Amino acid sequence: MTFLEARAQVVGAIQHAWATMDDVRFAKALADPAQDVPFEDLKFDSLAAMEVCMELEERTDVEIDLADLVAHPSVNRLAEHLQSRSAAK
Amino acid sequence: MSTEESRPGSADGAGADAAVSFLTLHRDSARHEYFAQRPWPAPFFDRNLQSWIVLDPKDVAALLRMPVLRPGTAGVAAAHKEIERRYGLSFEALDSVFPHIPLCAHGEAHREPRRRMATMLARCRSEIVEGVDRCLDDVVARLEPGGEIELMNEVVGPLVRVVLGGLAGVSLREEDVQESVSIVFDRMIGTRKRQRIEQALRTLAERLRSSPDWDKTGEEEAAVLALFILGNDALAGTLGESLYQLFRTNAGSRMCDIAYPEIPNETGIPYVERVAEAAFAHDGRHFEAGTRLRVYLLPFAYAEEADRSDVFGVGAHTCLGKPLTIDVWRRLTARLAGLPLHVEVVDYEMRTDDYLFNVPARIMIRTWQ
Repeated sequence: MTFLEARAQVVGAIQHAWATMDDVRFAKALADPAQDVPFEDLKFDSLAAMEVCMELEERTDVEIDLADLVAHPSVNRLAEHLQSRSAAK
Repeated sequence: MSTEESRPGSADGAGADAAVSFLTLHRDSARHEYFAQRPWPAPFFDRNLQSWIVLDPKDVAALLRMPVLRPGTAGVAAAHKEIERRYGLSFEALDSVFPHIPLCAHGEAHREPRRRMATMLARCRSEIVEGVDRCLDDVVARLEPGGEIELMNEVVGPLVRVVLGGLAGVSLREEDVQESVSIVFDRMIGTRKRQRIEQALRTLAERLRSSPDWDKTGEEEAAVLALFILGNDALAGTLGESLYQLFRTNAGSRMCDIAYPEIPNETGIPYVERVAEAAFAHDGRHFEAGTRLRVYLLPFAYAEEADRSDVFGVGAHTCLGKPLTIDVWRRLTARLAGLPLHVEVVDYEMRTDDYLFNVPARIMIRTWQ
């Protein structure tokens, strides 16, 4: 999995969670790999964070914990983490 | 008190470092130096974890004795029920085991499972110790020729299996305890990992039932599985981390020349979480109900002024496996102290997908005459 592929999966999972959050303010930044989006800005609640983890696990077959979102607290950092986890499988 | 009033780097958090991530500090390569620093900072709030950080052994001991603070793990059973309900998943094995885990209860509800578990441990202790001695004969024979050996597979793993097998009343094979079921206590693991733990517990239960020595009822089986959850990573991590730290700091020494402490010098449980059931005060501070605290046990391992045995916790939720762990540690180190082999660590890696326990994935050592 390349970084861009991993990032696309992270963004897809966030957008999946956002389907229930009804918030598209960050859509442009999320679509642009040159931009990083801190999760703090997205203001996930614990349920949305759980949804992101579950969706990422579904999409990539890589285990993702809520703690991973805290340890890698932005779209690009989580994508890098996902990429390395995927490579380690 | 507002959470903004006290942070690392602020006056209240003097001695702490704002750049430190308390999510992973306990497993970071810099942890030995960090936890050896003085003075200890006063408790401070960590925004990332939304939790108070407690490092000073004096604060830790005082807070762990407060009945108003329940273990963070006391909510695990309810959390699984909620995940089951919300996402249509089933954690049947875990649901049957949680009532037998003392750490999943608090106050009056905690007394009975703790009493039951303490009785189970006491009943098996002398038999387990005999098993440990027999296991150590084999372990020492593996070490004696010298060369490279991986401690988690060749030393720690067999000892943990002897202890857990002794508690279950069966002989465990290596493949019986492959999966870490202990991390179910981590509130920040995802659903897939929870499902993997559930499956591992079911498989383990099937294996136990298929053993010719197995004679337990359903309730007793759940209690045995509870002991696996509580004991596996805690014991493996404590033994592994303690050996690693001793061999790391005594690189090149002969094993027989190392001063082995009576109490393990590291712990597999670097911290515990507590949640305030009601408002309370500590050291002049006011904490609201619902406040979450990450209370570090690791400093007890490094604080000469503190009682090192408190690394097993203090108060109502003190580790029930403490006497047995110390038994195993003393027997293991007594054997190592008889080996005139030089030792050094050549490779070490912490388990990578665990934010709760400190369990090495690999400790490769080299020994020579």
